[in-house]
Amino acid sequence: MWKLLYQLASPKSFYQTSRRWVPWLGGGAFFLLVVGILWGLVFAPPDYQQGDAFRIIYVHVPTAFLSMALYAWMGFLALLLLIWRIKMAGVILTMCAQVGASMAFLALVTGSIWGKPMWGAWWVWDARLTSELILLFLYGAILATGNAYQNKEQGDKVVAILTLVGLVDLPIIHYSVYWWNTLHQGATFSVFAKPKIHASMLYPLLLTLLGLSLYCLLVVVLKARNELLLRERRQRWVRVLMEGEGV
Amino acid sequence: MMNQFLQWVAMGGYSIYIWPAYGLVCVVLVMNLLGIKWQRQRTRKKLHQWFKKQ
Repeated sequence: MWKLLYQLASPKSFYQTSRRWVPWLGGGAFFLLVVGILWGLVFAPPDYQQGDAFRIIYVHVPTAFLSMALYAWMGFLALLLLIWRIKMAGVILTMCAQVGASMAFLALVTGSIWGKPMWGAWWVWDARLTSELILLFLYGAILATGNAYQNKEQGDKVVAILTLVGLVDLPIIHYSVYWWNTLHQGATFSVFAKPKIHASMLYPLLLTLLGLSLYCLLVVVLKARNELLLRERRQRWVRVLMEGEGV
Repeated sequence: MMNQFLQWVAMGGYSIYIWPAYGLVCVVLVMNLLGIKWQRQRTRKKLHQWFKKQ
């Protein structure tokens, strides 16, 4: 375990080790997403209140969950960077922000599409929706800040501090449906409580959630590999690698 | 058979909401992957220029 973590903290080892993960992550994500979505769209029964409209859950919940999970992970990476000065954490943090922004965007838009037939409005200034919108803005601010710095390592530190400040939004998003009267329904499932959703609807949801998680991991790894080559271009291993590729 | 398929596509009258939602998700997921391909090409180009200068 420690050996693996040590390997991942070194840019060269990360680049070499991560190459082996790509086909597994890509294949796993594709398989789980196809099975989960087909199961959800074809075989899961319609909801007794919402009818077939509830099927948007299979894209809305996984994207919303991952928009928050990726941000929480970024908070951990920010600590690794600021306390233990692990360079790789800064690279992965920025890549997570890029993927997290697309997940937050999808969660908001699919939620809006679901809201129209159920609530009669595309958007309401509800606590859950507003706090998720703030999360999207946070992702935007993090990406803009990172891009503004010529010196990427200095930029990573500022981005890490900004990420830690933004962590306050996560409990607000999660508990917004309990703290305030909102139109948004409560959590569909929780790690600690028995799920409120029937198994025939839950299993495809878990499959799409797992598939989308693998997809996000795949995108982060592939983006980080490209970014590493640029940042480590002064290192001998990058020169040798590029000469091998004819660059 | 065809009727069953059309009934499924209609999604109980919610097809104008469900299919665009799934379509948008597919587009964004594919765009992310294409973005990696473009990023890879840009990276190779920048590295090529940088090594040439050295």
